[in-house]
Amino acid sequence: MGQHRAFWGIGLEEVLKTHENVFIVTADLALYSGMNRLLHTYPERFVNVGIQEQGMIGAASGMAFEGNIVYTSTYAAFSLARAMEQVRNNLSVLGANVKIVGMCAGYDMGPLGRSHWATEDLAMARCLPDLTVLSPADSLEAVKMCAALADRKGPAYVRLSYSSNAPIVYREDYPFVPGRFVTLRCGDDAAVFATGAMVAEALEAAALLDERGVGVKVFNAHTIKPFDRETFLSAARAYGHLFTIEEHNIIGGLGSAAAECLSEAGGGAVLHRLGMQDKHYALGKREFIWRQAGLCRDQIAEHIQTALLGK
Amino acid sequence: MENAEYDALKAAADWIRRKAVDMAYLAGSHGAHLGGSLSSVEIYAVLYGKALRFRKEEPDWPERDRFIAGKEHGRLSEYAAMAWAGILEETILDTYLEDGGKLTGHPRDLSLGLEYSSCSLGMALPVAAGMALAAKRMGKGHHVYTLMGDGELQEGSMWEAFLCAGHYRLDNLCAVIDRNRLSSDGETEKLMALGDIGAKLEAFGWRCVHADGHDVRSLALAFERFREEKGRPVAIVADTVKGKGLSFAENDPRWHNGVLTQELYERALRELAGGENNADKRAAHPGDGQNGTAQGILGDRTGGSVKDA
Repeated sequence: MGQHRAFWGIGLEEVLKTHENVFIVTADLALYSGMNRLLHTYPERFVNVGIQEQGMIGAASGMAFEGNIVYTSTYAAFSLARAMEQVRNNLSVLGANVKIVGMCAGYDMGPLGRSHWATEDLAMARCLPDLTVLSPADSLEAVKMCAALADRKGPAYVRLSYSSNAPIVYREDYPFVPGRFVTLRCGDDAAVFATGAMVAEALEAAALLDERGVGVKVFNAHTIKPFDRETFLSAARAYGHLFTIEEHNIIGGLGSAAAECLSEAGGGAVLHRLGMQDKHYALGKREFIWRQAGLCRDQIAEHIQTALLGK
Repeated sequence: MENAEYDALKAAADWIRRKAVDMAYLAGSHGAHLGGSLSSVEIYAVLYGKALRFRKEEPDWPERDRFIAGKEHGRLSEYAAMAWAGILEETILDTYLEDGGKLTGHPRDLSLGLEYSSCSLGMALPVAAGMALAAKRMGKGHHVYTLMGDGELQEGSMWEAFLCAGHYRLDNLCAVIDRNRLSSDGETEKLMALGDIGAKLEAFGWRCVHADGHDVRSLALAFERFREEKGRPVAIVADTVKGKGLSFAENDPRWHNGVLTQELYERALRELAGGENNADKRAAHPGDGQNGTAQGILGDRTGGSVKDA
């Protein structure tokens, strides 16, 4: 299952059952989002504004100012980039209780081309005061985020990375706490902080390294903001090498947040930022792009091992 | 419209205009958006004196009509109108530029009756549409009003919202367009022509009503048309003159944002006084209404010639 069908089809249905003041505004992506059942069950909670992102954020903000919790749905490539001023003024400055959900983030829309890739959305969301910025690792986490956001007052941006076949990271239930990274695997040689689609890749890379006798601790950095400084700096004290892995430009996202945190704390560990290396890549399927950016599991493993040898 | 009501609204407009000029003078060398404020004086007078339902002692009254200011350039008149209506203390007007002031930067503050923070063009109508949509979905009977400059219609986001409001048949939404035909660089029709705004909006599913934006009777009739309309949002295209009331500022784009020197301020006061004794126009304020709403203050419109304004 893809993350957005889990988020909308499972997570939001539960939220609608328990909250009378929740509305959904979509920009012509109800069916794609997996809202088919909701459309019939809760038609009065649902607004389709057609293909208009500024209008979507504007209308959602107006509805939120009337005391409602409003979720918006469109592609991650457009949700912030097209409506950035509306997001800044209405959500960040005025606090409209809108949860912007960006689908198909990173290189999920690979063959459609760069116009549909979202590799700067975290940067845009992070620089706006009061926005909570989330990036789930799998579909279960997406469902948990959907529920958590309903009860977390204030604006948020959620970045969904898998439109289909999302790898399963969590095989069992776990407590999702916004702003608190989750330890997925332990290891003594290096600490990896991955987010979104890169969490599953990081775990696979850690398994490869384990076979080579290298122990890697893997954290799921599901909350980009507020950044979990405590967990991150604790790792910085324990490990000589830290890695951030994200399907996003290394400027502005998880890697930047980690670098800012580490340097302000006086450094100590070496930070390696894996992600889109601030350059454009040739078009193709997702894995083809990952390969160019060095984000495939074997490349991640190689990168970590090389860095450790070089210390 | 009865003569007493007409006189009251006219007096309100005079008071608001004078107050806006005072505030512009207070801005000093910082300059003020005087031109666009003066073109919207009568619109604000009729909005707060006749159209909007509100309780001045309870600005966040849940059943109030929402007013979403989209025209930052009319802020002087908006604040003055709210003071005239008794929502804002008159003394607070003097602080509208103070660092950290309650009115500075046009905040959103429901305790002050400020429903939305404008300042950026193209932001308000989409929010107003969302509020009107929410009212419909939540079964609320209040109305949503917004005021925009005609130059603001050059923003693409406005047309997304026009489309949306028309599609959802938001007949609880009224958009007033201050058609003063000037923006910062000159004439709208030369810079980026808006053409027949009424025809455009009718094509988007709106009802369009034209009004003389400096005639309180014409504006009141236009708002009447809004209240009786079913199934469509209503746009009131109010023909106005930028800088209205000051000979040196009328139709001059330099007064989009200008500095009112002491000499010009004194000249403005003489012109506004019109040779008469410029008595405190506040004396014309009719005082508290029976039910605490503006319509209560000024009474329901009971007569007047009905024209297709």
